[in-house]
Amino acid sequence: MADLSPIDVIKPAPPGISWTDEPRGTPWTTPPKLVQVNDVAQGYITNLSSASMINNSLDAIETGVPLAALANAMMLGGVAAGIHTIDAGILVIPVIIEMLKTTAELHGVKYKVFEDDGDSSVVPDRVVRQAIKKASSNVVEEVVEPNIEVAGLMARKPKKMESM
Amino acid sequence: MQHIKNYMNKIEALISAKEKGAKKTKEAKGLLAPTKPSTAKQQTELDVIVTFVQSIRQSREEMKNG
Repeated sequence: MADLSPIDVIKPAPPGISWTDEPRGTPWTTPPKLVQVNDVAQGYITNLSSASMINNSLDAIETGVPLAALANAMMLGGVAAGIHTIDAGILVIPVIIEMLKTTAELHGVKYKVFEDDGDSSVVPDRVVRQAIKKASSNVVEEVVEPNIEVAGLMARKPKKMESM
Repeated sequence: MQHIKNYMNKIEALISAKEKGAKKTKEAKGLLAPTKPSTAKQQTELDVIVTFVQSIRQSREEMKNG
């Protein structure tokens, strides 16, 4: 893996590569632990009610990540861990969003559910920093030559307009 | 995220319909009857989600109001 260049990494996987691994070698190829939507939802409610999870989720919400994106990431984590299927996970996303909303509102943390929920007129700090960096790197100082009339022996004679 | 937004809108519509006490329409019989059976399992799963969301909201309001 260390010898691979970035171009090698983004190469598409050859067909049938999944068959080279041992069957049920990864959590997401094993049968899920929770099958019923009811159980999956209850599992997320229990998980999101724990003190450590509340702290972690509040840290994430404070950064301004939309709750929908957070819920989607948590759900995909559950799929990768082999806890539930992606079908059950997608069905349960509203429950995760409501739990995150509850956590944020009870702790007085501002949140947005979707990316376009916020005030679009507010420019994020990151964009401002990038704009300042870009503007300061392209500064070209203009040198204005002073208009000094040369006098004396070395002075050029002003060109006379040729008469037609 | 658009799929989640659409799904949330659907859940909101179901919740508002449930709060209003809207009755389900009668199933059509005879020639108007659907040829395929309705997705009963999906409906029940959606109902479960709606119930969960409603109960979470209710408990949140209770915790906020003390």
